[in-house]
Amino acid sequence: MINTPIQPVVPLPPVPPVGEKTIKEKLVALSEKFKTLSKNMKFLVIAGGVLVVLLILLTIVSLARGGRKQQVVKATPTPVAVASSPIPKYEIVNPSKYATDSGVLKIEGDVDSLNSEMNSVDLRSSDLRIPDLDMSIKF
Amino acid sequence: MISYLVSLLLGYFAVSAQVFDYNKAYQDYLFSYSIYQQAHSEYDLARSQYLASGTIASEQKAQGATAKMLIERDSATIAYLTALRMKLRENPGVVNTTRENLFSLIDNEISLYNLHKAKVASAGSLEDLVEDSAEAAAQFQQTELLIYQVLTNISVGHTSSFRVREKDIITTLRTKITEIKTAGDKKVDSVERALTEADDKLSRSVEKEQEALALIAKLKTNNKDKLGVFNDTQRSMSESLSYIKEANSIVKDALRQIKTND
Repeated sequence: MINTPIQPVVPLPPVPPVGEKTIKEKLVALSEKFKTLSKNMKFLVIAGGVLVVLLILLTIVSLARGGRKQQVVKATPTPVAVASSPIPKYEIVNPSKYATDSGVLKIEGDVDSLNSEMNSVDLRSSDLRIPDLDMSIKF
Repeated sequence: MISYLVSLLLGYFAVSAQVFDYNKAYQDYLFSYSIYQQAHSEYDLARSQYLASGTIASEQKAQGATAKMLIERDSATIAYLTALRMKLRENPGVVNTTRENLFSLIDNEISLYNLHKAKVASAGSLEDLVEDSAEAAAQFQQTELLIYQVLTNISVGHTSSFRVREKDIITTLRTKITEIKTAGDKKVDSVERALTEADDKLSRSVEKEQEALALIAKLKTNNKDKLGVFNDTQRSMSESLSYIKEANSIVKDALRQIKTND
């Protein structure tokens, strides 16, 4: 009787089913395929890839920001209709009979007009600064 | 109808083209000054090239550019003086004799620069042009003095005009107060006191004006800091205007009292 040694049973590595490729093989195949592409195509593929990555990043960032924001409801006052009358410069609380006197109102108009002119006058005539002329001509 | 409108428009443009006022004179000055600046750039370049190479051709070019620049410098000065003259003419409040005197001085300056322009055009060498330029530079010292005198008088014209109007307002208000007193239906003592205070403010305004005029009268051709003196006159003029504003404010307050019941 021949004694044949009993070999320990070693579990076999998982074998993919026939016709299916591993991820590594897929990547290798893709890189091989990429190598065969023309220069222009390679550039387009890389640019497209970068664009996709950027879009993904932007989406993530905007989602993160949006998530942090809290929606605040601001109370806005209801618009009230205002009569379009000129705002008086001062209010006479207890008007005398001269408050509507035409002579007094005329004087008041003259005072306001003069005030406005005095506030806008350019005493210095700034536009007429002495011209900057080169007076030192030498050779 | 269309022909009528066209003739109306043409008429308008013809009339507006004839009007020579301060705005037009000022635009002319700005244009003239821009031409001077261009001529000065060309002169700078020609001068550098001549100093670097020293050739006859570069000398001739430098001479031409210098002559052109000097002529444009005179033109810019004339245009400026014309604008200044128009400003003085249109400014209210300047005393007639002062205005006429200043007109005469400006006209004299303009004639001198016109003569100078003709002289520059006849210069035969670079040395002649340098001398011509120095002559204009010396004249410009006098011109600057006149310019500051005119500008100060224009300021005084403004404040004088404002003060006259303020005085008219006060006079009219005093007449009104007399009416109110006659009617006897309102106390006006405090209003009268306020108007006296307004009068005082106007007197102070005159004093400040006199200060400015005295300062500018002392200014001499050889003064190295004419602008500094002019700035001092302008400070006095600002103070003069402030006093008139204060007087106006007092009048405004007096009116408020009149309009309010005792």
